[in-house]
This record gives sequence, C-alpha cells and structure tokens, in this order.
Amino acid sequence: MWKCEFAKQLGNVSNNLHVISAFSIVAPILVGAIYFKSLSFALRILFVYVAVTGIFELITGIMFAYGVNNMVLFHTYFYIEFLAISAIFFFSYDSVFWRGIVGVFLVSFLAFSLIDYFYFDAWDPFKANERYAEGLMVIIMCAGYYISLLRRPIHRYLERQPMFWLTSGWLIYFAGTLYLFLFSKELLEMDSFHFWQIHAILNIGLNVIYVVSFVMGRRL
Amino acid sequence: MNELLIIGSALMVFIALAIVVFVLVYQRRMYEKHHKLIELELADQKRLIEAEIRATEREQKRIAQDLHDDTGASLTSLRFHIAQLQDSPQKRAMTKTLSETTYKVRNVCNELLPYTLEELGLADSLSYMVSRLNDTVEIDVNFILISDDNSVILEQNEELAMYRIVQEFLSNIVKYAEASYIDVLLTMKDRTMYLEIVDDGNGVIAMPKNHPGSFGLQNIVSRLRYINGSMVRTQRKQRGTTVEIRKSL
Repeated sequence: MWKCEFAKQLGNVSNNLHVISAFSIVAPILVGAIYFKSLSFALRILFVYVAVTGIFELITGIMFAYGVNNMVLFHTYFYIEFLAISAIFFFSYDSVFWRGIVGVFLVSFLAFSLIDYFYFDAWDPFKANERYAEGLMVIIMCAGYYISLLRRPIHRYLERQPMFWLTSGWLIYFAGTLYLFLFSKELLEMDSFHFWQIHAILNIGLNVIYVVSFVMGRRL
Repeated sequence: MNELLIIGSALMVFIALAIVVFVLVYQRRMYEKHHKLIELELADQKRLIEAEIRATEREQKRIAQDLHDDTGASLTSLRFHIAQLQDSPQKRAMTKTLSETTYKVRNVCNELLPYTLEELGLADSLSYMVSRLNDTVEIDVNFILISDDNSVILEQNEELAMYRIVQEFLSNIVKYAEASYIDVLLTMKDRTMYLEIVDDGNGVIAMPKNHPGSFGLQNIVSRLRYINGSMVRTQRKQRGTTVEIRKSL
C-alpha cells in the first residue's frame, strides 16, 4: 500500500519538476540578497542576473497560466543570460587573451542571432541554434578558466572558490543541455515532457550551485 | 528517442563532472608540489643564513679574543709602566687617556662578543647594554622588564640573535632616527618572548634601500628568520616608531 503511495508521490514530484525548477530560483535570490554587501563585483553581477531570472520566471509563468505566448521573453532572456555570464568571466579572467575571447564571443553571438533571426527563425521558433551556440561559447569560456587553473597553482582549496563552483555549475548545465538543444526541434515536435524534465533537473542543480557560490564568495 | 535523450544528457553531465574533478585534483596536487618546493627553498635559505650568521659570530669572537688577549695585555702592561713613573701632570693625562682607551676597548670587545649573555642571560645583558649606551649617547635609553617568566628559556644562539637584533635597532635609532628617547621593553610570558622598542625619532622604517642603515635592517630580518621570530613595525603619525618582536618557544 505504502509502496503505491510512494510511487504516486514520486510521480507527482516528477510531474511537477518544472514547477520546482522555476521556484528553485528563490533560494539564490535570497542568499545573494543576504550576502550582497560582502560579495565581489563578479558575484554582484551574478546576483543581478539571478534576480532578473526570478522576475522572468514569474512573468513567463503568469503568461503561461493565461495561455499567452511567452517565447519573446524566453528569447530576450537568452541574451541577458549570455551577457551576464560573459561579464562574470570577463571580470574573473586574469588573462588578456581570454578577456579578448569574451569580447569576440559577444560580437559573434549577436551576429549569429541576427543571421538566425533573418534566415532561420521561420522554421525554428524555439531558437535552438542560438541556445546551442550560447552553450558552446559558455563551455569554451569555462575551459578558459580551467586552463588558467591547470597552468599554475593558484588555490590550495579550489572548492572554496566561488568562481570554481560557478564555472563547474555552468559547465555541467550547458554540457547537459547542449545535447538537449541539439535535438530540441525534433523533441518538441514529438514529446516535450522529458525534454523539460531533464532541463528542470539541471536547472535545479545550477540554482543550488548559485547558492553555494554566494555562500563561498561572501567576505567574512 | 527518449532513452537516447536521457543517455546523451547523462553522458554529457558525466563528462563535465569528470573534467571538474580532474581540475580540482590537478590543482590541489600542483599546489602541494609548488608548496613543497617553496618549503625546500626556504629551508635552503635558512641554512645559508644560519651558516652566514655562524661565520660572522665566529669572526667577531676571534677579533674580540684577539683584542682582549693582545691589546688588553698591552694596555695592562702600559698601565704597569705608567704606574712606575713619578707623579706629574703628564702621568695623570696618560693615566686618564689609558683608562678611556681601556674602557673603549672593553666596549668594543663586549659589542663583538657579549660575554654578559652567557653569565647573566638576555634580560640582564640587555639592561647592561642599555646602561652602557646611556653613558655614550645623549639619548634617554631605558630598559624595562615587564614580566619574567622562568619557563621562557631560549637557546644560546637564539638569545644571541635577539641580543644582536636589539643592538642593531638601537644602533640604527642612535645614528639615523634623531630620537630623544628609546624604551626597550621585554616581556616573557606564556612560552613567548615579546620585545618592544619604542622611540620618538623620524622612523628607521623610512630608510631608503641603498642607505647604509638598510643593511642593518636586512641583518635583523635574517636573524629573525634564523630564530623563527616575527616582527611588526609601526610608525606613528607625528614622530616615533614602535617595533614589536615576538619569539615563541
């Protein structure tokens, strides 16, 4: 009997995973707000980005509930996300070369978006190409951070560095979603349930990492 | 398609996790290796400093002994010969000059090899050093023993290093700081020796690198490193410097 109940509860959790994922943004907003004064500049950018994400989640959720198409907001959010991640990497890199790469990526991403808008938008309303390009660029930026760590000894306890947590979080999230966005068009046409479930799990994980980053990044 | 989706995403996440763990472990190992190298370099440096200090002390000891045995003996012989002369103003002048010379030679001997350190210990030797300095300079130099914990016993070479550090500081202050007073405070408690040198001068801390006094400061730093001591120098806004030296057992 209890096994049936447990399976039912598990099923509910599974069904409501996207709701949990949307609400999980509250945790980093709260923790970030508590420690805001003691955060570094890069982490303050992260807080602003997380707060904007929270607002977007709220508005898109309301629009979805009222059956209004929220794709425009969804696409706008991509640009904010990429801009925030690029800015955080830009201010965290020691190397001028990698700072330059961030600049090149920003320009390339905008150029790619324009091309995508004018030539491919008609058959790809989800803008999977942009999402895919964004994922690839963020993964390369993560690699830039890791390369600097592999070149010279900087931190004895890397796990206490907020930037390491952030980079690891983004690498896992974007690596996980890269595969999803590669086939997003086909998946959305077939059955989007699993698509959103996997995305929700990765999103919850990323929000937990944001919380850890804020906690690790506070100056005591 | 769903299985493919889950497997594909899981595989990507797994690869990302593996990269994260690899970077974490690699950085830790690299840091530890680098840290060991630094430790080895520091140990080498310490050995060099130790050898240099020992050689200097040995040479100073040899000069002090030569001065004491040869010059001291000559001065004693001279005193004996002068004593045999008939009383005259010349004899009195010679006796006075001889006394002054003997005093100066004894001072130089004591500076080169502080005999008092072995016999009296650090606190009394510092007190003696300060009293002799008071006789020769117009600065008000005071030695204050705040608390003397018997459990704080330094090794002979450590006591000598502390003595030399104070000697160097006092010499620098007298020569360059234009101070009107110097206080040397010694506290021995909780298995730690705290030594404080306070003056109202213009601050030896501001001495330029190529200044002759900066060599003395280097010497102080080397000796502190040699005995694993630490030093904090604070310069007051108006005038004066406080140097705090700490040596834990």
